[in-house]
Amino acid sequence: MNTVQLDEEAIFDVARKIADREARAAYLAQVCGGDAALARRVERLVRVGEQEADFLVAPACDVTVDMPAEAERPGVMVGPYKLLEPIGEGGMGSVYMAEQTEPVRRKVALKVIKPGMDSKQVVARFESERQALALMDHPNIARVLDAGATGSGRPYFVMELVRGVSITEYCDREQLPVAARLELFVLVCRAVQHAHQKGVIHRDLKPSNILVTMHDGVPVPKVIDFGIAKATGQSLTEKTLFTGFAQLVGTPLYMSPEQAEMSGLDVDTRSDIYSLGVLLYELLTGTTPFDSETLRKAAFDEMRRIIREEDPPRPSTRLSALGQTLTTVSAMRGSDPRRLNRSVRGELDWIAMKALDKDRRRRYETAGDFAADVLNYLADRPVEACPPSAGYRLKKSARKHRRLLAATASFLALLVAGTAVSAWQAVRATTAATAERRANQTANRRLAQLESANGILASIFKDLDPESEEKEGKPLRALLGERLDRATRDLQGAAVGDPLAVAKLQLTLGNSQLGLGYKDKAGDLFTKAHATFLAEAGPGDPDAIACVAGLFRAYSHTGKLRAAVPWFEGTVTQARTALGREHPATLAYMDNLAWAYHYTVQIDRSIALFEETLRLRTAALGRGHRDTLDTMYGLATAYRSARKLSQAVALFEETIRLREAALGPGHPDTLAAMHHLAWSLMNSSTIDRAVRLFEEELRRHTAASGPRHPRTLGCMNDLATAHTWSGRPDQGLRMYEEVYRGRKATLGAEHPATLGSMSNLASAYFEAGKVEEGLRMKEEALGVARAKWGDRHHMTLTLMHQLGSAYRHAGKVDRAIAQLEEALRQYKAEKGAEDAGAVEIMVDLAAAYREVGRPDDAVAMLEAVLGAYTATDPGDRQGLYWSYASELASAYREAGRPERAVTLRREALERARAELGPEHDKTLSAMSDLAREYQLSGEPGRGDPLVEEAFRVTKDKLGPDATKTLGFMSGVALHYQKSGRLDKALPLFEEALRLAKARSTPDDLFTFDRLDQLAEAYIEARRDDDALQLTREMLAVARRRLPAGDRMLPGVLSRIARRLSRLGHAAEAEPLLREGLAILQKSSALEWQTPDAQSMLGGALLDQGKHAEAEPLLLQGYEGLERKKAGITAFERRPLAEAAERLVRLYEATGRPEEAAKWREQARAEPGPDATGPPE
Amino acid sequence: MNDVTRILSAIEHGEPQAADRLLPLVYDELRKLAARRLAHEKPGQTLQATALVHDAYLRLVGADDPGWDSRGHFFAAAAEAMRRILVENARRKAALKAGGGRERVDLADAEPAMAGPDLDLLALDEALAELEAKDRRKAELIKLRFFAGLTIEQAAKALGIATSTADSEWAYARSWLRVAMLGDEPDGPDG
Repeated sequence: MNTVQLDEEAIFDVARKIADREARAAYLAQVCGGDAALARRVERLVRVGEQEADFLVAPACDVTVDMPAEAERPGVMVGPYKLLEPIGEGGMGSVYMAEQTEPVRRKVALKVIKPGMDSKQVVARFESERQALALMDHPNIARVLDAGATGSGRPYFVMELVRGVSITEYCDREQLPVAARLELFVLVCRAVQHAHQKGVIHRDLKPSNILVTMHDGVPVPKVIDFGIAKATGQSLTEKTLFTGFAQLVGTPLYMSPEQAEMSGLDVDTRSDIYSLGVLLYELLTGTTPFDSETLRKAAFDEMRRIIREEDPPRPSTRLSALGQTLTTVSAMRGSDPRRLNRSVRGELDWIAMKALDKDRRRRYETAGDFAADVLNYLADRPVEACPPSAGYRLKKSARKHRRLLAATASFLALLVAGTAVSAWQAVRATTAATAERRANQTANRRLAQLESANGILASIFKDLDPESEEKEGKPLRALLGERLDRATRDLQGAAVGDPLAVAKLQLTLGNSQLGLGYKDKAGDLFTKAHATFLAEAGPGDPDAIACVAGLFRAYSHTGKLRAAVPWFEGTVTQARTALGREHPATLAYMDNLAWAYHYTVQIDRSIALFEETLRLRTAALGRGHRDTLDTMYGLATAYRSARKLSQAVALFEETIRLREAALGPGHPDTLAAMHHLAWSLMNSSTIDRAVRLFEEELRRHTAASGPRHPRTLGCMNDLATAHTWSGRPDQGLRMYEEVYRGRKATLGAEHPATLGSMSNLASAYFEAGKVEEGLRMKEEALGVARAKWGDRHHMTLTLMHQLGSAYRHAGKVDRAIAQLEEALRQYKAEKGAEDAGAVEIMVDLAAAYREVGRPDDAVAMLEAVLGAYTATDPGDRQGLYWSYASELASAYREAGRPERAVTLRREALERARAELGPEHDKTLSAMSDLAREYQLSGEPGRGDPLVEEAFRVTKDKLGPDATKTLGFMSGVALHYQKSGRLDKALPLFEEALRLAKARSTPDDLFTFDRLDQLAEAYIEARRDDDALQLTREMLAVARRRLPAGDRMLPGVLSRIARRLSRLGHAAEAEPLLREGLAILQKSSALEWQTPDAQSMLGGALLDQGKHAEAEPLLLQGYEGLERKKAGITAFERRPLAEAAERLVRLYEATGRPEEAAKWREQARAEPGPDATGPPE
Repeated sequence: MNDVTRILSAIEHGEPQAADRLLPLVYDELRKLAARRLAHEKPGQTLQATALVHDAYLRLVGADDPGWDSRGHFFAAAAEAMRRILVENARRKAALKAGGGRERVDLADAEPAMAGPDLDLLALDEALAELEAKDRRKAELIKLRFFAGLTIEQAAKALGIATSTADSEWAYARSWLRVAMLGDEPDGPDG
């Protein structure tokens, strides 16, 4: 049977590849001979395979969700609660009335969250907030009692049972007038305030979460669902939205701009204030600020954009726009359209709009403040909320008011006729007022019109989606710029006769242009506007100051700043003349100028001016005033730039302390000061403090903005750097990993910041010896860049080059060469062969060629480099000629052209002497290099004067025991040693060692090297006892310098052990090698280190006659090295030859000549210790 | 090392019987994963068996990735587990159609159901058992491809055979199974 089956399969395999049916039948008839059944069967198998090409192919068993019926229904137990009846269906799930029996019998509300959430996470988040929730005890808050997971795994929450209707429904049903509505609203604000004081943010305030119940005939609002939004992590996402808008109604409508941002992290109590503002708006007008229909229809990003950017009409404006509906809305408020409009217009407008400000810093600070202002209105007291800078404007003359008003009205007419009419009416309605408060309001209102003119003006760009990259075939940024230009022209035409209004608009436009990155256009607008404000209102005008600040921002990172410095100086002079030296406005200009000095690297001037401003601001405003603190911060940064670190540190510390008090510990300004302080402390003696500060800063960022906010991640990155610098690379590495994950998750894999952290992470991996991980990270980064930008983008090219170098450093030279060659090809194609980046790649490539023994290719490459480099950097500003020339000379020698090497080195030395002078480091190195070249060419005598001179020059310049002097002294000694003149070499080595030991701050590793060199020289001089003594001394030094388990220890120990073995002290070497091997096996070391150590240990055992124990180690070591052969460089293959030689010795010693011969062959096949080097 | 990696390494070191201990673990994990996933998806959504299996792999083996050889054992177990889950499910459905079984299924018990129109899973399973008796490796290949959702290349690696071999064997086994399921052609005897 078996053979038949095999035949069937074999025949089938051929037959299925014959497409033509007749040909196939012919084939089958031929192969199957007389077996018609077999032919028929194979034919059928092939046919079935063809006909049912899909059979079993569909990626396995796709699995369909087979959703069973709802598990929760009345009568069912959920945890200890018995469900009684459904009482509501919300966006997040169903609410049931339920009965609790243990520990008390009571009725509760139980909300079962819709499927789609991980209940473990939900419950965990709830538990983390549980304590705070338990602290809340307020008559207008329904308490959340419990949370858990139902049998079917869905999360549920248990709450105090509230029987009521939503606040909006209640107010409309009862036709409550505005005042009664406001009274209820104040209660809600206070409830929210209570929660905020206990540290609980609601995050999902909306009418359906504010129920009104009757208590003895009195309506009592109850806020429900505290803690639930946070526990369910409900934030606006595409997914929640597509789950069904209807279910979520309210959520986007009541959502603050920062929530709509979707970072989902940067939410604080002021988000709740915003939602309360929406509620107030709805209580007043019966509509939400944004139309639910518009939001529903808008695409997801558009909807977010609307919430983030569009300014809703004021409540009174909305009322006017309601048309027919207005009658109903008024009736529900026990009013008529005219009366309702009048009562809302003005103060209630401002109150609502203040709470709805896009910038949460401009909203009410607390829900309590919000309530107080509503009460101000109810008690007919002046309200806090008002259009910005009104107080100042009041002091302006009546004439100006009229002109502003006229200008405003004309813009409105020009832009949005409908709005203009109602605004005009609004102004007229108040002209009859006489009391001072009314006068204030009038002025405020007029200004408000002006503000809204600006707003409307700005709205002309708002049909553009900033997330999209282009519209109508034009890049969005360019399109916006054009529209701004057009608006600038239009407005100037329309506003003739009112320069202030024009200036105000220019200021707005300037800010918009700046936001788009058109710094020059912004600068022009600020300059023009400033001139107008200065002439019409004087230098004390806040807008004039704003223009100067704007101009600084526009020019701060451009070359124009330097040219503008005199202009900034002028602003200070003007203010001093007009207002006096100590006027707050003068001080603002001074602060600005000091920053300009700082940015143009006039640090001394900057410091002097900051110091003066700080003194005056302290006197005028107090030490803790925000403006004073800004200057203090500026001065501290200037100190830091001037490297006056102790002063910088002291001042940063004070800034932090005072900002903590004035703004709070988590305020961005406080944290900015902290950040600079930490960086000021990033040097070896204070780095631990820097680490602690970064840690604190990180905690605060996390608390203020969440763990994955860009600022938090940026801070974490700094902390990682600090950890790494302070000798804790593992901690740094973990943190870099977190930054990378965070950025990838929040910004996407392709964001430059994510790529940056990949690069950091890769370096950290290399640092920690995790070469493979580092390479993988770099490969990934390159892949991302390629996909996003293509092969020739600057970023891709840089990453290609980096990856190539990384391969090389990891010993994967062949891959390095391939990668670098590709990088070079792309680079040349994109930027030309003489681009500095291409030159760098060529240099790396040449080094790689040399490593794999392709000196001719290296020569060709480096000759091209020298040519190209001279072209890219004609004056050789970076002084790279000498290093490139030196590389090329070495390549010449390797390529068997020593005479070219000598000539080139001589040329290099002459150039160095002529261009850099006789004492320059490069000149001295060129001398040593040339001397070595002579020595290698068998003419060491010609090198003698060169090494002696280099040594003498260094000694005269730096003193007899400087590190460098001793280095050159050893250089002279080595020169003599290598040319066989030990008598001259030994005294020099001895002297160098004596001086190294005698130095007041002995650097052990430096001494270690001196010991090593002298020991080597002693062996050559056949003074083994002296060499042994020095070798043991080396061990003592290593023990002193390196802690147990140190990553450097294996290398150092093997160096010592190698020499001990050579000196015949294998037993002494053995434990050292075992120690090194143990460290290597625990860490991910370079690929060849571990097998090399194994082989060496085997060698040490062999030398002690422990043959049996040595053999497996020697074999294992050799095989390990052999396996890694492809990944190691020619230089590093020396261990492979040695490993083979040890095996030869083993088999010779154990009398197995055939094995020995075999290994001798192997050893010869490998490049020996100096195979690539010249003969000694 | 967790249980699964320990078992995988035992198999690696020549204890094939350890595979028996692997199957229950993988089976449990797959059922749990499937149920959890299903609870989060809307009805009518499909889950990829591939994704489930890889998820299970990450959860059970995770960071101690033992390399391709051991991974092959894991996927073999996963494919077998997946086959059992699906076949059991098909049996229950068949029972349901026949009038027996339960009225409703609890969410926690939600089972993956077969997608694809007319595939008789029970018949396939019988044919697969026949094939397994004749040629174990081909049955294994079918399971890896069909139940664990591995690609030809991955399945070849898991079985330690060349991709071209896997390709030929896949074509043959697929046709063989289909013919076995369809039964004899009216006019032809079978070899």
